[in-house]
Amino acid sequence: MKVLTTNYITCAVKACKSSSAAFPLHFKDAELVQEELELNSDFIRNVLPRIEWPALVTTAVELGFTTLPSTKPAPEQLDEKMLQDLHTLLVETQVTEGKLVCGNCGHEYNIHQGIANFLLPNHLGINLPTPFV
Amino acid sequence: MLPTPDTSHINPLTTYEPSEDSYLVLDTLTSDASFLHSRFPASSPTPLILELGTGSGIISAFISSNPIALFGRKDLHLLGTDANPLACAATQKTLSLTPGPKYFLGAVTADLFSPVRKGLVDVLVFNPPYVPTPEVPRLQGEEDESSWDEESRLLALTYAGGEDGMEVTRRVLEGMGDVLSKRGIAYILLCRSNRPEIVVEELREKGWTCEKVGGSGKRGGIEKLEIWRIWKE
Repeated sequence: MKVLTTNYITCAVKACKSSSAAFPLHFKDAELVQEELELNSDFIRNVLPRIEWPALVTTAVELGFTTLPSTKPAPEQLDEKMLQDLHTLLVETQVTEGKLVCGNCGHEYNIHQGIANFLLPNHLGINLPTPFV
Repeated sequence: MLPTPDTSHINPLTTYEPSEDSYLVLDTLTSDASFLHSRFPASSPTPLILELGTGSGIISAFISSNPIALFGRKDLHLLGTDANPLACAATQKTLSLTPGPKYFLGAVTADLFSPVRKGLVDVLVFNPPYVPTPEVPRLQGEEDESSWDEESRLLALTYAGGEDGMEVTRRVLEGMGDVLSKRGIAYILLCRSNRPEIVVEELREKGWTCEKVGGSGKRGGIEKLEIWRIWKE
């Protein structure tokens, strides 16, 4: 899975949804692979407005990327180096193994062969269909 | 005619093999491209597409590899979920084999959109398990589940829709208001036994706009499968 995924997901436990501690989930023992891909600067420019920047910085630091500025770059600040750094982090980096940990409930979601598993143990109760009222 | 992704590597015993319904989704998205173009102009932020129940990954791969034809822009990104980890692996493989831009974020094993944050999804696509069955299988087996039982359960997950074939789809219709963005739209496939006219009426009462944008298998004037575009004006 690509690093950007963690900007769009949170803990699957219902009670954690409203907790700010549940986002972003924290990487533990993450193994990364890089795949060289062509830079599409349109993608970087257009995806930037939707990124939760502080969460991305947290995630990036956990994975060893320490070059991101602490505030989201403005469009005019996107020079070649910044575009390339973001491309490397967001597009070329895949997390293949490890865990994502909820900072609220402590639940650990396994990542194996690039696939994170968000199914909760049956006792945390997600298998009951919501009634359609 | 846009190329169909290669899914020949999948194991049809544990992952849904692309069928009439899957191809109907591809055709419908293609024919609805002008709506997508105007809904997501190239100057707007990159659309996030979420496919639920990706199975083989054919639909996500099709969208991912045809951003210009479908959306009129090069930048899309997609996320997929499936309750079956083997289907997630099949999806990732299909995406990796499909030529085109590499903006598939990943397939995650999950119950529908349970880990997805609110208000982010621009296009939700769901080809659900829609066959009426006495019950919907559990998403996870007991610890002592035999491999035979696991295979039957995983296969049942691909089609078993419970009462009216709507038990899973209903959970999506109920929850999609939370996951869709302000400009978000959903493409949902319904079959005849889901009683689409009642489903759509209920959605309209809740303020959704619904338009039938695809159909197949017409018999005596009634279509077997329908795809509805559902959104808020």
